[in-house]
Amino acid sequence: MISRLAIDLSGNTVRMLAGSVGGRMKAAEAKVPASVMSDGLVLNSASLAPIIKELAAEVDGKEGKAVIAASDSLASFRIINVARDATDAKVESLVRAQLPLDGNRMGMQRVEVAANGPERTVYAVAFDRLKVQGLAAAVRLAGLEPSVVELKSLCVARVAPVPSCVVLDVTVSPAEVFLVDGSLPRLWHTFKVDLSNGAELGQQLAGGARAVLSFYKRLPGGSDYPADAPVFISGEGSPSPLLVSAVQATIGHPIQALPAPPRISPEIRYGPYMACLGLIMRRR
Amino acid sequence: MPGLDHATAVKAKGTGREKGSERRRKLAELNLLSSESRAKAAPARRGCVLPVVGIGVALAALGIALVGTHL
Repeated sequence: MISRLAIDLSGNTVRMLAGSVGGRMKAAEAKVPASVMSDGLVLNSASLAPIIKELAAEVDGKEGKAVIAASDSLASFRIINVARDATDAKVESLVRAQLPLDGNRMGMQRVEVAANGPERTVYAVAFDRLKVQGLAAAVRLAGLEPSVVELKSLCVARVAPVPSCVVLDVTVSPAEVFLVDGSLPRLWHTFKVDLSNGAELGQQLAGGARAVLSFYKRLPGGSDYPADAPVFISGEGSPSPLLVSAVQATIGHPIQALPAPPRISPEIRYGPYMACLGLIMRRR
Repeated sequence: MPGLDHATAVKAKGTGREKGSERRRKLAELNLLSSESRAKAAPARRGCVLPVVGIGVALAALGIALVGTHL
């Protein structure tokens, strides 16, 4: 497995991880002032670059190339099923009809994921070019070469231990919830969580998970979503049994802490570094 | 439901548990920078025009100079 330098620029904390799956890994993080980066949007590249440079030195990021996780707030994605014999032009028009493409401001990319009998599955994303360029520019200013920018939801789908599940990330503020189905991200949503309010924490987490589950189950074909699809909580350490039972009682799906991805260095806090690990797990 | 930031309209079939190899094939990978790198290739070609113009100017100057020596 190739050694990589992964940078999570999706939130208000820059997280960096260098290494490879099954190999040595080193991680570091730094909170960034709101005037420099806010919710994954770079506001001041010149101030962000030294922070990235310092973290790279801390993790021995000798690799010149860096792979970056971007916030899902910079983009919109769709999973579209098309006929197996659909022409490229037809696929393009179907994708364009479903994504918010606003002239030159928005870039668009798509990739064919799988063929299911008479259909092909296409993952397509429309993204704000300037905002994505802003991430790359800050990394470039830090003396690194940005080679990949990918949405955090795709990284999470790669780390998810089962093909259909919900992942609640409570290491970021606002908390994020990702619904994964067929190993692909389907929904992304954010919600406020007050971690200091233990009494209502269960209700807050249940509310976040329930929002995506009930929405998805109402979509065409969504009623097929497995009733036993687990909800994983990604945080610092394991959630208390009391919290787990409170959330489970509300939404009906089994709740558990996100398990460590296979062949990860034991010292890595895999909850907060979930996006970086997803980047490291890329095949290319 | 309003308030959801992303919503996929169509759901892929076959959501059951899969073998590891099958699942790995389905894991999407995308690079939002790849279209930018193609866009950047275009201006690089325009850069090649400058030496051609420079050589043209030099040849014209040489021609004028040669004509000047004959006068």
